[in-house]
Amino acid sequence: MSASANARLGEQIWQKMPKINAEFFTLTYGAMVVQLMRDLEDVQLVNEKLEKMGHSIGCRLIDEFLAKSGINNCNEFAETADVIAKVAFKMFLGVSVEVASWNDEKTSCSLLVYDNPLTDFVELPPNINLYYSNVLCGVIRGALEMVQLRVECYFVRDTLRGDDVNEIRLELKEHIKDEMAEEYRRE
Amino acid sequence: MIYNMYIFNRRGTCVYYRRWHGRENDEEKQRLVFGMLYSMNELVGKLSGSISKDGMLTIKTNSFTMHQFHTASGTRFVLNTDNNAGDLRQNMYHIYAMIWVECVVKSPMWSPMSATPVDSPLFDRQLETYLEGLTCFR
Repeated sequence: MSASANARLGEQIWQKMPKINAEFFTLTYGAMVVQLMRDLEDVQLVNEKLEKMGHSIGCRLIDEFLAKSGINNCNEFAETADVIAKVAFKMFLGVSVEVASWNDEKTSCSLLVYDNPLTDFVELPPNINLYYSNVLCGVIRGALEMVQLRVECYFVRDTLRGDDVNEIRLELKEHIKDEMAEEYRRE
Repeated sequence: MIYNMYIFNRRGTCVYYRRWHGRENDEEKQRLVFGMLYSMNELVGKLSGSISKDGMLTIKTNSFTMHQFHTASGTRFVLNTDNNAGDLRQNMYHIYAMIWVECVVKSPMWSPMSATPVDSPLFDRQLETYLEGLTCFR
């Protein structure tokens, strides 16, 4: 499917998705991050926790995504990245994302999030190593794991730290092989 | 007529089984069903010249038809019917998108990799209502 077709599909599904109040969403997420900072007391642990929470979300979200988008299989990773950027981000967050900076092997790219709804009204204290929206990386990793793609996903640039755009790096590590349950193994 | 339905996770564990008509199936048969589908899919993938996105859809014998719907996330829905049921692709997609995702995937009691059978009265009810409404049910 071509890039613009994905953008149209994303727009169509977004129209049909149930919506919640954006401020409510942003404030709830903010309250959660603050609570994690209090509970864990270590910024690195908070970054990891957010990623882990995202991973659990992604493992479930993939089915809702597949069901509502009607997308089944992507032929190559470039298509997968485009579907995430144009359909998934649009349908769940209402924003459109650019795919950029492919490497030569086409296994790694950047997702440029110009408008991140999680960070409205947010200011970080200076010199803090918090990846505030790290949950997004986890969601992407969890969702792709369910379709047999092992990826690494991390923030490179963050507007909260003074960068001009949010950049999430997405790297394909391997295609996961099917593994059967115990009862199918031969002794 | 719809005989029974299986739902398998990616690892081949049967997480849901329901029978409406026909004979009762034991666990051994569930394993055989999955094993056959798995091998058939591999084979179909290798034999078919073009890349098909849907994979294998039905297996027909002289006494019954097995319909398969396989999601990219690895869940397999299998519906066994008599030979007059016709094309059930749309219906199986409906069961996945409108019933499975809404009643099971969104439930906090369910976990994607879990091997425990799905125990959801809501899913049972909605599935039953939907299937009973189909002309091919009886």
